[in-house]
Amino acid sequence: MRLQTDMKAVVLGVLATGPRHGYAIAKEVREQSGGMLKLGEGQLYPTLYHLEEQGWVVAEWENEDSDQPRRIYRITEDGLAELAVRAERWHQFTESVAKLMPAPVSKPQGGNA
Amino acid sequence: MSITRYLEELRIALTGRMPDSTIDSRLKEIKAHLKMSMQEHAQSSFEREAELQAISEMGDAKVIAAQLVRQHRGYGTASARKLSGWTTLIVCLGVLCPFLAVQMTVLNPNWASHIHPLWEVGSVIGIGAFGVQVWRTRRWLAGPVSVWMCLNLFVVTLISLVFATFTLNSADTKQMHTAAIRGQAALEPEREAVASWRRGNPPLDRGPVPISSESQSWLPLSPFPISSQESAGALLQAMPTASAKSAWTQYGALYAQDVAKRNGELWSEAHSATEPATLSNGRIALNTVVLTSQMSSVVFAELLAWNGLFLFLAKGSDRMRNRRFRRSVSAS
Repeated sequence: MRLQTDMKAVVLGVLATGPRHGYAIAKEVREQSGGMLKLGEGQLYPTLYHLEEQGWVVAEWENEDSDQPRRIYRITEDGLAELAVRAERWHQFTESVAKLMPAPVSKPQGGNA
Repeated sequence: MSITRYLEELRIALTGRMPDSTIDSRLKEIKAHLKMSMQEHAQSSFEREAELQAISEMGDAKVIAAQLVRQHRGYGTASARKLSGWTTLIVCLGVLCPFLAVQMTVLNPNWASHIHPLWEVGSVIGIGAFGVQVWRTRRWLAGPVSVWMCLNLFVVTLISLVFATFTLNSADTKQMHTAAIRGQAALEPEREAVASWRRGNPPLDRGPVPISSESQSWLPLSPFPISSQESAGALLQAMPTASAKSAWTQYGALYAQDVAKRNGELWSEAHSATEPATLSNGRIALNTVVLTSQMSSVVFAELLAWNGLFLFLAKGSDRMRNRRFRRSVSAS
């Protein structure tokens, strides 16, 4: 079974907790999901540029003249509104699926008596 | 492979496909990303290994470049209808040309033999153009292309059927029809002879009916159940005028296309009566709708299958390139 993850909502969700650069977003997604979600770099930047085009995030360079410049992304008001809509839709979806799923079966503890 | 070399490859792949200022900005950000990734990996491994690991995680430069270009051109967000514009035009022309060619056979019956190759070439060009656009955009485009194809088919079928109906009711066709019935009746002994010969009885002792060179051009497309060339030759001789032969050829060409499936019913209807049938407007409309929906469903299913195949191949190609790239990086 494969669930289609809304990566735009995931990125907006990460940015809702605070401004970050691309690498930090990818790292946050990986760590927060316990390694379940991997936002590939090839997917991350096109997603971020798309969010920027839509006006849902704004980006600005930090330490641009240093040898380690960073492009920091911040969520906008429109981005927060979009996130709310997407989050609502996602929760409705997962709740509907959860109702149809049986409770997880707990594995019996192994070991010799 | 180093970060500098990787960024150079990326720049080469992006040059000419987006503005230079955008390329600079994208490369600067990717470079920053690679350096941060490298620093993190360097905590647990050597600097060179960390660099390779960072590059490997990023993936093949050409794949990344293609993704950035797709994003820059709006392929991921633009409507499928907009993206499939020129492809739809080519696919529709590929279908329209053979249909128009069928209508043109009334001017020159010899063109009928070129319709099937024209149809094949049109299909190959149409599917090729569709495949290129699916490959470039990585999108499902079968929907909008099918909608335009349905409209296209509807108009073309309507024109074909109206054209055929007028020809069917023309004085030439009536003349031809009478001649055809006369010819068919005259050919009954020939048919019997051929059937008997096929059953293993020796052929009748009589000379073959001469076949004119003209009959060769329309013979393979004839809508009538002619069992031998001799019969066809005799039938052609029974026809009264050149224009009737021309009209006949046109029907043959229509049969050669699948369009003639419906017209075939009309033909057999006309053929079984002593006078050609007069078609009502309602009958034409019904035939048009039925034929268009039949062909549209086939076209939609075909485009859907091609779209799925091209998407599968495109995504598979990206995955393979990334895998090969990671293998080569880890080997170095």
